Amino acid sequence: MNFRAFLVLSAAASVSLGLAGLASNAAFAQNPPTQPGQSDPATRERNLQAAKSKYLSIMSTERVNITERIPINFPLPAYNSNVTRTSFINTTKGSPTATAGIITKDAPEAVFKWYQEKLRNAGWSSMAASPKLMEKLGKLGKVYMLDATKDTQAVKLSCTLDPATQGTTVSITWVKNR
Amino acid sequence: MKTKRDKRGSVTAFSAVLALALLVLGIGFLFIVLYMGAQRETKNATDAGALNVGKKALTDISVPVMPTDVFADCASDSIDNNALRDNKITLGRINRVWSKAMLIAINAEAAGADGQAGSGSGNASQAVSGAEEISNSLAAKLKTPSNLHGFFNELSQQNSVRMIGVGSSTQVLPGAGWQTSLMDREAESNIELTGSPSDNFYLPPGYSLPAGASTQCTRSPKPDGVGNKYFLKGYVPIQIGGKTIWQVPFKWDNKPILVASSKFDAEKATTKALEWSNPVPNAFSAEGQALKAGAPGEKATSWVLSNPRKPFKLSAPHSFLKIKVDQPKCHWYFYPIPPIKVEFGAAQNYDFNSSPTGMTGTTMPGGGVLCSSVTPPSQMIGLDIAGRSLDEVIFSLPNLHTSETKKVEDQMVSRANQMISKPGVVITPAKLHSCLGSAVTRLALIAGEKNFYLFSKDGETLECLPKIAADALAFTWMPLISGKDADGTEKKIIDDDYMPGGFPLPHAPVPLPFCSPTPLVNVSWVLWDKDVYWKPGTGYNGSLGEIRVKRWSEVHTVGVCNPL
Repeated sequence: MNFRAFLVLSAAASVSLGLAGLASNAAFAQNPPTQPGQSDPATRERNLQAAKSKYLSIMSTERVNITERIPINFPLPAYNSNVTRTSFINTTKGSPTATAGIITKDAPEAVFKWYQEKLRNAGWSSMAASPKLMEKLGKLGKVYMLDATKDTQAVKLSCTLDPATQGTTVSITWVKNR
Repeated sequence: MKTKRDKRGSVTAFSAVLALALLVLGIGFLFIVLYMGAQRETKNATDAGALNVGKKALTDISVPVMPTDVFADCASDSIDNNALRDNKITLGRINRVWSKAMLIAINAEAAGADGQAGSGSGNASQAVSGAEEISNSLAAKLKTPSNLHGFFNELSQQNSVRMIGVGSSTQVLPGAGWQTSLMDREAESNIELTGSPSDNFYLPPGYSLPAGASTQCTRSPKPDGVGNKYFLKGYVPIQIGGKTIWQVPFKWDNKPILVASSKFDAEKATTKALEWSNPVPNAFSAEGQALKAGAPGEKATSWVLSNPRKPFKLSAPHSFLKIKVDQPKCHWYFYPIPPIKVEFGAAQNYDFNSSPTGMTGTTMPGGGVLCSSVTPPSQMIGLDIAGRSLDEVIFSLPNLHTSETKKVEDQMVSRANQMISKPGVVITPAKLHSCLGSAVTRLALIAGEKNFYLFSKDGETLECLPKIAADALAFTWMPLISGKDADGTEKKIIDDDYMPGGFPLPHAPVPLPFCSPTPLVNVSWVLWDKDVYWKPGTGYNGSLGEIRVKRWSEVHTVGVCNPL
């Protein structure tokens, strides 16, 4: 679609959706709200459900599922020290694939070593990017990466330094080929 | 009455007669011995001359080719692709020419079956015509006895025929004694196939060699070294896409040998016709005569079956496969009208030398439901390509399209084997991945290189290097052809192989008036995507094809607000 045309269309649609939402807000239209500018709880709940259904329609179309918690059956253990946030995304069609994300206050090197040991103990064969390679990339000490395989499973793991907190963002991409 | 003396005189006379008879017999015997010896010497000299014809016909009678000719790379007895070529096609090399034309035709046929023929079919026709032209010229030269006479004399004159007389020698006797034959029909040629029928000889995926085109060694007993190798069959028409390919049989590891006249005569084209209108012969008869002071003495005929004793693998020696990596880009998607997504903002480049890196997209006005604007959070981009080798860029994650990935691998393995001339060497998928996964490709990608060449500098090993390094390593030929494009048409083999590839992050869209962001649904995530394209090349101009890899990231940002 032509971008400008789409922009106009989408803006119009967005506004119209909003207006439709407002118009369908019975409390806003007919009854006085419990607080200024706010609909009654039942209507708010309906609006929330409508919004969530739109979100779910996107997830369904994109064939992904996103949650904050990493499932316990994720093939790799989740780092659990000083964790401030986790997230998880998986595909819902085709070959199984998922990415788990963890943010921790711990340093990348420590987190990376923890995962190396866990992978080794679980029988994965892994290959880490050498310090020389990371130096070439200008990421020495900032990013740690490894690839690991086990049977038909493959994992790409990275531990990236968050410059602001000196903590680590862990990204574990997992795939199982059929 | 006879006296004792008379009796003795009778014995003397008898002895004299006997001695004379014995002398005559001795002289007769001597002449017979001399005659037979001369005949044997003449035959030996003729055999030696004929064997030299069988040997020199392989190397010293040639058809010139231009250095730019499609078959110029076949003008060598070496498997080493970097070895200098002498621009001559000989009997020992003619099968290389025909087999290269065959490969070109096979590649065109396979590309055509996939709807990717392009100009490959036309090139294949030209290649086969070119091979036929060279072959016909060579056949004409080999069938012209005067071209062989010198080889005969070269050795026959060195052989002693003293029994004919002092100063006598065996020389060519021109005429009907000089003929050619097409022996060992349906035996193996000196072109070895890669692998076995079970792995389809590593020919292009989907293509099958015609039944009866190949054979194992036909020598009996089978020599130890030949194992279970397969070869193209000689003096058998091999049909490839309506074109006929020929091979001259040369049994594995046989030297030029003398053969019986009966066998030679039975296989002559005049005795037993071949479909091949102008066949290249592999056997020759030679007639010589021993001369004494200008007068004919003895004459003899010998029959020799030629053999270069030099096998090659079915190959296009000077060839390459190009691998091109497109500039990785990050695209930004929004969902203003769910579930339809729209790309907003210019795609941003990321690269092998800067990844992974944090990237932020452009704010999209109205980029979500009841959103005034949506701004994607900063996402870590390039983890899919950071520090990766070329092998990983092509084959690694995302690699969920396993059958399509296998197709790409099969095409590449097939083409890689077409670069190898050394018999017995097989480029397996593992070898290909090892080559593509070398530290060199990793460092070259980091250095910003996007074009790579897969080739064999020595006809035995595989290399994958950037153009400048390929040109330098194969300096005798690569610079002449590395600029050529594959003659087929491009097709996407792996179509949008993708997977989640980053940390899904929450974000806060700016809501429209009287709205607020819906909790837990405003999220942004990254997908790693990959397309792989295949453009087949027949090898006619040196290019066996092109692999193009497109890697990109998509940041999807959902913005949803609801009325207050």
